This record gives sequence, structure tokens and C-alpha cells, in this order.
Amino acid sequence: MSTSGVIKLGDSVGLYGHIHLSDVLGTAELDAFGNALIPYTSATILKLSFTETNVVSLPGVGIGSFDIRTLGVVYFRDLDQPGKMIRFTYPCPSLGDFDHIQYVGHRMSKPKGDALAALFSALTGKNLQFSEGSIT
Amino acid sequence: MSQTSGTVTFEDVKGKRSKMNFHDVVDITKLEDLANSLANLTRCKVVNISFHESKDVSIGAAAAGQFDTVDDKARLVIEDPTTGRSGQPQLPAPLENLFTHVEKVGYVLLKATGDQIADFISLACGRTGTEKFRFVKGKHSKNNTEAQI
Repeated sequence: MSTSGVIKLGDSVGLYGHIHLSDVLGTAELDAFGNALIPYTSATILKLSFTETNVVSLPGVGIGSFDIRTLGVVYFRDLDQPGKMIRFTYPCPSLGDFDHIQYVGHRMSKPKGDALAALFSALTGKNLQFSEGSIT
Repeated sequence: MSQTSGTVTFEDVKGKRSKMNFHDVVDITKLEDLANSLANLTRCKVVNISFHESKDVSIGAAAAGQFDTVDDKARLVIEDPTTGRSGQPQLPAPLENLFTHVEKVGYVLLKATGDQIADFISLACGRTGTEKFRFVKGKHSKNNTEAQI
């Protein structure tokens, strides 16, 4: 795992500058660093950003014949905001997750869609319900 | 108020990459869970997972001075004693009193200031004792003078 931090500063004429740091421990440490810099600069600190990155190798399923530009498109309803839909796309969808409907095309199966909605709800803290999914 | 987001990077058999971005991600473990599940939905490999957290703040006050724009920078060289490698952080719009003006040479960063900034970076990165970053030299971006210690 690697981490990094960026501090965005603005000057009196409206220009922006950035400080980039590698291997930052966390947001609290980045906060402390930003505050410690105040006596050293005439600029205002405008934004603190922390990034955590994992390089992984998770193999996909099936044989890789699809181009990465082929996308699965899934729509979720946000149950806490009636009428709001959230669109989610992902590359190289596995055909096994879709039912082929004559004259319509591929549509994501409900169990797969429900599982994705549960994942997205856990990821974002939102209350999402699967609506529909297709392949572009 | 902090904003969070996440990025999952996919790679196909030809080595082409595509990124998915998400808003309002709770934390990186949730993103890892998602990436594991997405790997079961796609023919691509998942090769990278990134979690970003940022917050808008307003600390300090932009002031006019001799080096009042962010184009003016204090350029530092700090050394990682554990690897011997150097990094070059830059501080935008540094205050004038961080430098000493040397006749016919220009503005050089004070050693005490460089040491303090190296200490701040060490704190942010969890470096203590003999692992702390060491200030090597510093200069102002408007000239080529360097403070040697």
C-alpha cells in the first residue's frame, strides 16, 4: 500500500500552488502538517487531500475476448432521495451476468443487480436499489 | 466537510486500462470489497485501488509581500536516511524571513527553517529518530543560490 498527500494553496492574486508528499500516515497527520506550514507561507491553505493506493492483481472471470471499451451499465435507485438514479458503468462485463432477451438485448439478472446494489450501498453508505443493467 | 472518492483501475488482455471513479466512498476496505466483487463481473483484471479523501479549508491568510505569489517557491532538498534518496518538496509563496540574502549570491533558505520543514514532513510521514528526513539544502525559485549545510 502507498499513500500520498496534496496541499492546495492560494495566493493574494488568485493563483494556486500545490505541495505533494509521499508516504503520509493519514488525514490527521496531513492536517497537522498543513497547520504547521502557516508561519512559513503568505498563501492560504485551501484544500487537504489524502490518497491511499493498493496495487493488486485480481483476475477477472472468463476468457478475455472483450475490449475494455465494452461497458456494463447499471442503474440504481437512491431510496433516500426518491426519483434520483445513480448510473454505474464497468468495463468488460461478463456475459454470464446477463440474460439475453430477444429484440431487446442483454439485461443484467436481478440477483446480480441486487448484489451490486448491496455492494454500492456498503461502499457509499447510501440506500440503493437495483433498477436495470445492460451492455453498451 | 470532507469529500471522499475511490478509483478502481481495470486492465484488459491487451494491456489497455480503464478507471472507474466513485463518490462518497466510506473507506478503502469497502473499496477493496467492491473491487473483489467487480472482478467476478468482468473479464478484465483489477490492477489498482485508490481511496481519496479531501477537505476544503481556509487556513492562514493570503498576504502581499516580496514573494507573494504561489509562483514563488522555496525549493528544498531533503534526504531519506533509510534509502539515501532525496526528495524535493516545494513551499509556495514562502515568507521573506525564511531566507537570508547573500550579496551577489541571492536568497538562500535558512538552515533552521529547512530543518523545521523536514521535521514537519517527518511527522506527517511517521518518521522518528534516525529515520527522520534530513534537510540538505534550499533555495528560492527565483535564483539558483542554494544553502549548503
